[in-house]
Amino acid sequence: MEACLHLESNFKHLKIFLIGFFIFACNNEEDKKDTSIAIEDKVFDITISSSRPSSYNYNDPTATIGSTDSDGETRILLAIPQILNLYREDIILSSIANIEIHIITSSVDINPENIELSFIDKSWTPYASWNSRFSLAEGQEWSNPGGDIMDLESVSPSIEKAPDGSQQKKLIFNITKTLVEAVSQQTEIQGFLLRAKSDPNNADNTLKVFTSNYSGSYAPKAVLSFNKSEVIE
Amino acid sequence: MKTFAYFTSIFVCLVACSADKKPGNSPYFADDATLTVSGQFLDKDEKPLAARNIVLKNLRRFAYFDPTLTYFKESLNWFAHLAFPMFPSYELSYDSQKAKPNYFIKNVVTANDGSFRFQMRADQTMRDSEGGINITLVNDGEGKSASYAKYNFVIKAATSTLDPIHLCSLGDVFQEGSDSLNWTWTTPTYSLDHYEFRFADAQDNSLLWTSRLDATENSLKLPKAIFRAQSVRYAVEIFYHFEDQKQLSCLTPSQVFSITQAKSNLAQGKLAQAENIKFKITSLSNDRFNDESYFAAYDSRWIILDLLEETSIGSIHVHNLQFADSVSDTLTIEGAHLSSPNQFESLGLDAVKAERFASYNLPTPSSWARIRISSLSVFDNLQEITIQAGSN
Repeated sequence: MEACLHLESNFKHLKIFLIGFFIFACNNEEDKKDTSIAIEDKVFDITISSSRPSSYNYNDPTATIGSTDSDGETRILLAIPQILNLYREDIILSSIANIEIHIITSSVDINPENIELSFIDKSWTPYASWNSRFSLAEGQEWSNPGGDIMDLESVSPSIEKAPDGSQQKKLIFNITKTLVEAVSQQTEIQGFLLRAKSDPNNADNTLKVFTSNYSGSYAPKAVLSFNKSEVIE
Repeated sequence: MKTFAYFTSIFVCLVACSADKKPGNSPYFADDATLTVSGQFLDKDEKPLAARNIVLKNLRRFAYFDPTLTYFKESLNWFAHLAFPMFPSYELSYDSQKAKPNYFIKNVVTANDGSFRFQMRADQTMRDSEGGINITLVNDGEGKSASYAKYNFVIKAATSTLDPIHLCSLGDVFQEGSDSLNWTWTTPTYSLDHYEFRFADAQDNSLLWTSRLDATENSLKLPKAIFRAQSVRYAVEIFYHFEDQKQLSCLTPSQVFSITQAKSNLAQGKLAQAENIKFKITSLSNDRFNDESYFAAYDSRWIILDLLEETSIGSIHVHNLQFADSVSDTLTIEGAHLSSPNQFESLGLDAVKAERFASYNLPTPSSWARIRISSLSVFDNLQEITIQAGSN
């Protein structure tokens, strides 16, 4: 075990998680090979709305995305989490099995094909709005109000029950393929845009989600899992 | 160099705490012993298969699993993909599977003479409850579903030199009929257990259908409507008796056929509803067989497909049905007319056996506007429903 505690690496975050993993694995002899390598990181978000084109909201613990007659359309910008910066290291990239964004909702009354996570290559600040990447200064407007989406295929979620046994649902966006392809083309992704499209097949055109301001485990997060065999070879 | 040192250290950590020493069907090996598995893949003319991707898997249980079952424990879902892939390169890819627990997997490429060799430390391997180190070798062909063979065995010595592994062939003949697709073959003379036919979209390899047949069968007939008017890839895995009821299988090279005269899928584009799901369901009838899963989140035990008009139905087919529990392994399929859309009547398909892929023929073709498929078990997954009119 001493070797476990004297690792030297550039990858500080990954190292901490992996050391924890291996210490845990060693302590549990029976399950020593039954634990996959997975790490999580919080995803920070802000809410933007067409009804408030020049203002932003990053304080509420929940946000209702989608469209209503009174409030127009609301979307969420999600900044790429720091842990995903690791993907720029080739050796890390080759060992990544899955990159997922997990978002908790109170219910899903929208046909999941109408829930889309898109990719953004322009940076924004915590003061971004529907019209601007930085609402406090001129000349930073989005080319397309509501966020400039990259020409990459959007991802719709799979849905699971929330792990705590509550009535909440977990939206799982598997972005592995798109992110790995983007990296291979040296395209830098700055974040994601979550939106709910109106459609006759929806029971409701809005979706209430927990934001990064929620203090509990329902806040959005990124989950990375690694190929154990490739990491150790 | 730092990266190298880092991963080397991780390797040392894993090896240090990962010994699995219970001898049994496989002998005892010291932790640092090197286990070698080598062999040679040949084509149907017994010429070497060079530059083919070979995957070695070591799992905690023998790599035999019936993928036609509708109920898997959660931990077995990934196993079905990993140990028993429909097509070796298909379904989430090995990369994503490899993050799951209970696996050891390595890849090599065959040399010019078709030979391959795997080496691993003894303490990297896992043993089953009987102390056996189970190995599954898959010739993954050129990496794009052109798979050729799968070979299961238990390690008996530090060095395992396998007999040459031949290209797998059933000699099956395919014919397209007006309502059905038909395959015939000559039953091999060796000791068979069963066959499994697997079908996928040739474009994206999304799984369309599987059929399991007993060793005594020598033909397969499937309704046309379960396939789209498209190119379909298929392969057959042939299972032999081997080593005290454990089984050896070989997988034929995948072949692609196109349906020249398609039969309509009467469910195409129709909307569905299900217990506890408020939105209108489009995924069951959109001709996409790789939609994201969501049924498991809703505890649904029934699904209603609205055909919108009285429609003559000959057979109903469910694709990739899995239950979340084992309360029941049957389905009841009923119909309702436009005049009484909520009054469901028997189609003669009451408490029929549920299978992951199943075709249900109505005893007599008849017209219905709505179809209800229900079970006492909760649906964990259902990818698609197809319906064929006609006289089969």
